[in-house]
Amino acid sequence: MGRLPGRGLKSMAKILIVEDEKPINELIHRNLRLVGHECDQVYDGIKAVEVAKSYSYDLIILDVMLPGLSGFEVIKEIEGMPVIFLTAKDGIADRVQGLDLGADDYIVKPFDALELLARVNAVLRRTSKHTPVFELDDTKIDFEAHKVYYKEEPVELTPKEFELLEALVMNRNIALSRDKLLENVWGYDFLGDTRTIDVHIQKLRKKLGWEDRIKTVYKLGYRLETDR
Amino acid sequence: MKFWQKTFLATLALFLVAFDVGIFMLADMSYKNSMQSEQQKCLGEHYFITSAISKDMDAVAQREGSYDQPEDMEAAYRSLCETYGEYYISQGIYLEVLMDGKTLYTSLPPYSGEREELSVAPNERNTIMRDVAGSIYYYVAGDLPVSSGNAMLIYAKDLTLIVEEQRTLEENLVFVSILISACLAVALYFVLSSLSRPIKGLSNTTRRIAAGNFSERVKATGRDEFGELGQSFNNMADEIEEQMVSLEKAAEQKQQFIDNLAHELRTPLTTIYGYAEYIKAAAITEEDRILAVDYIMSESSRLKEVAFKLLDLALLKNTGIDRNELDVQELIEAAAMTVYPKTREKQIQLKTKFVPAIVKGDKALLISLLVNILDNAAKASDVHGTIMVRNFFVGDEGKDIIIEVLDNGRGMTKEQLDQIVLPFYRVDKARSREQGGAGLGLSLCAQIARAHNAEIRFYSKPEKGTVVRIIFYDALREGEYAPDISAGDDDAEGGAIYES
Repeated sequence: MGRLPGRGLKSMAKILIVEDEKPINELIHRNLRLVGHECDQVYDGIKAVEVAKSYSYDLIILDVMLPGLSGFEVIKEIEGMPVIFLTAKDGIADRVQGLDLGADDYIVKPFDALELLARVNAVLRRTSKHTPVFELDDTKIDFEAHKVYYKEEPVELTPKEFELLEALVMNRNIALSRDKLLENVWGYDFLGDTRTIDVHIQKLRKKLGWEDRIKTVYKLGYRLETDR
Repeated sequence: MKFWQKTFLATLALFLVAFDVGIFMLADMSYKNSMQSEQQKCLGEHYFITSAISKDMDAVAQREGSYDQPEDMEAAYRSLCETYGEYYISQGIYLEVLMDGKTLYTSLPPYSGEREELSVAPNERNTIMRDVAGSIYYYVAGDLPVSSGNAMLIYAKDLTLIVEEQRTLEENLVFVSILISACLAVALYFVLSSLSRPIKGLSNTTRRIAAGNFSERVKATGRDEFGELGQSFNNMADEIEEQMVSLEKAAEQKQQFIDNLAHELRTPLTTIYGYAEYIKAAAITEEDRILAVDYIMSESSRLKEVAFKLLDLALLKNTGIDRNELDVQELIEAAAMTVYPKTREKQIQLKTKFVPAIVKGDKALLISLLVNILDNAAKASDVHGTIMVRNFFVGDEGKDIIIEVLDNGRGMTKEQLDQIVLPFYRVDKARSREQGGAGLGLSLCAQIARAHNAEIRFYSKPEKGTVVRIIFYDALREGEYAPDISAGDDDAEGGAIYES
């Protein structure tokens, strides 16, 4: 592909996807894989319990309406693993029931891929014990310690640069619009214009040697591309 | 105050008033009668005594001729009166004789008051009742006709006894009245409270039903108005309970429908949106792109099917259908042709058997119905299975037409049978979705049947097979024609055989 191969990317998390609709299951799988998570896929409640009992997942994405056992029944059978419920029902009663049963979050279909990813990350951050370290080409980032290294040497980044970097990494392989980046990194009150982003992106490209990694996507925004 | 208490008090009061007024009136009338007759007697006696004394006095006056002294005549008179007086005292009668203003004789009880009876008009008598020293006397005063002067005879009879008797009677009456009232009060209380018990029962039961316990009923015994009321009430409660149950059921079903519909719509939408987003923003390969697009298209189809089927369901409910005369054989053959590719795929043998028959209805709808049922039969059958389609007549006049589809496939349990015509219900979720079903097919068929005055009945044995019968009623008639499910032993006679 003409790119420099990445150096030993650590996978972000091991996630179990429980959803009986094959296309949706696959959709979730692909999105999670894009940003570096590793996934297992099952299509019914009984299999879900079986698999969850034999491996300790970092997160389980659990559909409520399943053949065999329902999502609510499955969560009772598994101990200790964080769960995000997925459902087509939007009633308050169902949300409350889900959260009462110990779920960490509740997403309603249809959902936005970025929203799903953000919630997954939020839950992982809350419950995960290992510190995520990200490596790509000559760059290594320790998000917990707030340290970035290029070719083993520490790199100085302004707070905004760091947050922008985080957004790109957390949503890697997915195009992020300038507006979205502005919103997430600079907040809603920012009165400047989108060229601020362009400037920051340039800086990051330079500092981390990622000229070929941070792609400008026509009409869409920016995308950090990794090998998968 | 409660009704029965009001009744009680009213009845008691009325009785007391009526009774007391009645008996006291009676007592009073009887007293007046007695008194009157006594008084008459007294008057009579006075008259008798008057004439007797008068005669005797005249006799005395004449006999003695001329008296030496006028006092002697007076003495003679006096002794005469004494004789009478003494005699009558023993009878309780007291007399007084006055002559020329002087008291000749008196045995009257001493009385110092005014004596109005003494001013008597000629040929008249005065009477008066007087209380003297505790006793009641009846005085009669009248002229005593004597030849030698103005005389008056005053007669008095002791009538205390009568008055006392009356008083005793009154006392007794009061006592009796109180006694009877008390008994009546007690008896009335029990009677009324027991009569009003059904009302209390009714009111309690009503309250319980209103609170949501629709299976409560009243004890309706007896043939009086309360019994009838109880019966009617229970009937009404039966109706209400039935309505409540069916309303609850309908509401549940409606909720289920909505939940299922939400699911059937949101799921394809999620897929379509998700993959579109994926194609747009993710760094993906050409292969990924093709997969995503395929998903978008298949889910769009699914969405379309659900939407259209729902539309059909709605339309059927609201609009009428064509009523053409259709040949049953034609309908079945058209449906079989449509399903043929599927049956060939699984190498299913499709047999048919016809008798000539005409049904009235909409050709497209009926073919659609048959296709649906045949399709289900094909899905349920294993490879090399058999499906038998035939029609025949039943009913009292042999005018009801049945079209029957029999397969020897998977079959269904009773629970599944109960639900298959419900919208969105699928017997085997996973498989049907792959084959493109939304679970609306049979509910649509049921609607089509209803619009044609027909009924669909399902009979099934798990692992043995299923029989589906569409009964076209000539008139609206009930009938149970349960078949024997022993699949595959029908030989085709006189019909096309679709070999795989």
